[in-house]
Amino acid sequence: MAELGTMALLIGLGVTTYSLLGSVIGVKIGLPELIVSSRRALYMSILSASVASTTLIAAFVQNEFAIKYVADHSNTIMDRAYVWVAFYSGNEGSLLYIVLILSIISAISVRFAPKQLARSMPWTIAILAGVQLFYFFVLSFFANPFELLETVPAEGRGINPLLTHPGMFSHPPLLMGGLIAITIPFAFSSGALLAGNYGDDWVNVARISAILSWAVLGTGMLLGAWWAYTILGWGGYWAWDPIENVALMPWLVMTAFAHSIMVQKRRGMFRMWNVALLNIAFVLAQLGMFINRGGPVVSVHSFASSTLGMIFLGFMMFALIFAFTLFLWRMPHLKSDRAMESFLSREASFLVNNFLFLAVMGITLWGVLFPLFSDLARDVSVSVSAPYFNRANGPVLLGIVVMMGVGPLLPWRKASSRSLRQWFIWPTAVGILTILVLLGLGVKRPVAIFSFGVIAFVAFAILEEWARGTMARHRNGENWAKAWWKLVNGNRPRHGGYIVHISILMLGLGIIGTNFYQQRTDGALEIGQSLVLDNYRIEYVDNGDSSRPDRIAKWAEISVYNIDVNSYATEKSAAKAQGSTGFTLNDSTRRPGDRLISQINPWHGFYLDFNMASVRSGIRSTIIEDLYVIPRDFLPDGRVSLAVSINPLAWWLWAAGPIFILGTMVALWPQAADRPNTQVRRRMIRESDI
Amino acid sequence: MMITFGCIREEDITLEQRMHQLTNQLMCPVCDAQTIDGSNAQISQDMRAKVRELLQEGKSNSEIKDYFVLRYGEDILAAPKGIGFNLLAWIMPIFIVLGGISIAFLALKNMRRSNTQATLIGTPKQHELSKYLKQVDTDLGIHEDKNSEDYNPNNQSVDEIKS
Amino acid sequence: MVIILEITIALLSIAVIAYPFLRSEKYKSIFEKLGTRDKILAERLRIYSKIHDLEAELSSGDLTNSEFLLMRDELRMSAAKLLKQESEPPISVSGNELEAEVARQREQSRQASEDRDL
Repeated sequence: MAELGTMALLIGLGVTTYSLLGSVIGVKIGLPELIVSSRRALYMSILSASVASTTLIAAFVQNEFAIKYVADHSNTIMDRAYVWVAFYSGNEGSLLYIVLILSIISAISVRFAPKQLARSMPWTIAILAGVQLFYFFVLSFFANPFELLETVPAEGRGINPLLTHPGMFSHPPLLMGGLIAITIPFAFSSGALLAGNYGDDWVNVARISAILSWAVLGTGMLLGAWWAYTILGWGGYWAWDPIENVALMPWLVMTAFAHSIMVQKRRGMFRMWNVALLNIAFVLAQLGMFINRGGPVVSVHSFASSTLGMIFLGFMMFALIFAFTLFLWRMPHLKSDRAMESFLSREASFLVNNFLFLAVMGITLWGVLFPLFSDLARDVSVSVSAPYFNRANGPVLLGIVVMMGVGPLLPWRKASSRSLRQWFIWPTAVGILTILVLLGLGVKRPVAIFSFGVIAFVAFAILEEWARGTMARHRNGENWAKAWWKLVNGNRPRHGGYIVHISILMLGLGIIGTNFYQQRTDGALEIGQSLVLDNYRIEYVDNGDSSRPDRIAKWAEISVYNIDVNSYATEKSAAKAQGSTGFTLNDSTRRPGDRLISQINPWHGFYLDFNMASVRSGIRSTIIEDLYVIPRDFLPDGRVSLAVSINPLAWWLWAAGPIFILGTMVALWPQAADRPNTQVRRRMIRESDI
Repeated sequence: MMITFGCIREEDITLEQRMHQLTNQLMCPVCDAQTIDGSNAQISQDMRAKVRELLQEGKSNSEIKDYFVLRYGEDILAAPKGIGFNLLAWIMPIFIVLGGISIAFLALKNMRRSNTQATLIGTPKQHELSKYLKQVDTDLGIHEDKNSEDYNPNNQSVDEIKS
Repeated sequence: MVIILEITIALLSIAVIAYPFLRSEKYKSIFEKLGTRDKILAERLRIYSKIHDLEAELSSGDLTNSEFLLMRDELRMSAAKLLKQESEPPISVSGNELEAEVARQREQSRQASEDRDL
């Protein structure tokens, strides 16, 4: 069994080496058979990767504890559904997963690449094969998932308890898949440069593959946030942990690319810039792989310390040098077709937005690396965590949101002052009005209020454009829904982009709400006692035991009441005098105005083998705010120690996910105008026969 | 101005709120990249209790942070203080943003200057093309009408060339 | 059993990779077909299809008459230039220059079509 897996990896190493060398030599000596054969070798890496993966999964299913990886990451009592999670839960398996994904998407992108790219395809294939080669190499010699144990244990160690959550079926694979998929657009742009194909032929395929990887990465991060919120039990969703940061950085660069590639597509500008962005994103993805595997930075996510660090660091440095040497070599050929006509144009606004994205990336990178500098420079270790990133990145992120409103309102080329007035007056008015209304309502936190104003400005700018376009079509006799749909259909990249913007605004609402207006309290309750926070009262009704051989687990039954604060005025003022936000009640009898709104069952488990606690928080969610209850611990004296918070607007974070995916799909859906119409296609067929 | 608005003054909020502020700014010494607020490790629980105790004694936020720095070292703080070498951590973002914006504007300016030349070069030798243009029109089934003169900006109307 | 599987995979990989060498002529002809002339032809046909799109937009009222004519004439000029190249003997132009020329033509045709987005 294990032998088959190892063999498959070695065959994979062989075919990718052949594919890399064959493509390069085939082009150099002009041997078409060799080029075609190398392309087929690239396809064959799917076979190797999938045989190896199937073997590993089969080993998990059959509990083959002779294989070290299986013994380390599963046991007989593990729910069989989690075999899929166990597959990539460790270092070796996740590398195998990565090469599986890369081999599949490489083949798909090569197979369906447009014919105009024929000249640069061998180079693209060489790059794809080269990256796969690296992973097969590491898997074969440094991180073989099929390594055998000398003595076969009777029982495995079991899966990491933090991973036993439905979110884990999709969060890690999407994240790793998104990171590695950045290889595809990079291979197309660099392949074109290597072949000396300076036209814009690679733009469409790079754009599509880049946006796909970007969307997958974004969805993966969002699912990770959702998982952290519901299970990690620290009450947050984004910790600016180094591993989160290394996924965020390439995502930011790809976001910049998704915008600036449109400038190249439409206006033939920013050629150099787009290539540079893909290079940066690819190198950052490799940085992510490096930090993830034995890198020098601590993180909750990192795989147990591994010796792979240096190898991945080496590959990252190689990628960096390769990408930018190639870039500098070919730079003279990447001139823009025409120049910027005005600062007030969409292309100029895209450039500014690009630099803001890169600034967030740079600041994040600086924050990730600063502890290392501190260590090296003065031998003092420091931590750089959420408070730093929030403060340093916050203003720039707000600037990006502002640009999100400004950019789409500016036309290509040049804006006239008339059109500026026409387009900006209403969104700006709505933004200012929002700020005034919030101030009038007595809402606190000026920074947050200003941010809400900005969000309103952007939202209204999008709505304004949709409204005008729809109305113009409606006047021609189409009904409203149809008119809007036709408008969106007319330019999918643009309107899909707007839908994505709306999802980002929803994220913004959630981020501002939870960061600026969260209320919290802690307390330990006996059965029958209640904890009051703002206008909620939670009553600890009962508990239950759900221990299994590998864990001690308990859940609490908690009733959530909406209360009339006036009924609790005495206790509240007493608590305030003591300096606490919430307070505990011994007597849980209902008072006037109490209304039962929900029952929640937060859960707390302790895993003996891992010496690790895992919790599932109880959440009562509305679009206004979440009541969020974490059972920190079930105390020996029978009380349960709870951390309770009210997270305003948290619902919007998760609602943004589907909208984000929808927008991406609209933006990527093939545009009807890209296809030649039938009449011309017929002519094309006729003429190419001649 | 905005930054001072964004911060809440210590005396405006309850001790419990201050406690949560502080626990979010102190790292758990035994965990990987977690604050004591999120961590359930024993030492985090003890540190949380200590923070509460110190707050009740009436200590200020910075006094409490200093207390922990003294015992656990600088890396107990979730974000380095902006003094000495660590000032670098805070100054760099400003340079990154300013540098980025100025590069963007220089690039924009540069791209504008090259504009004038780009438009001059691209003009084709149109008279040589008339034969092919006719072929294109036949391909497309275009029968030229004379309206086109009204709008053609360069007065190099295609029709003139054709005739 | 495992040995047989391993050998099968290895043989299958080799067979698939070696196949092109057994069918050399076919691939030679494919590569020759990807000549530059076909590229220009394809580009010209693409411009034609863009002109047809413009006509459709004129008839649906998305474009005014003058806008339409302005854009169409730019596209017509690009097509004529490509046609000229197609009729010229191919030796005179080296591969790289052709690439550049095709890119330039495409750019011009795009300039015309992008105005629709405004």
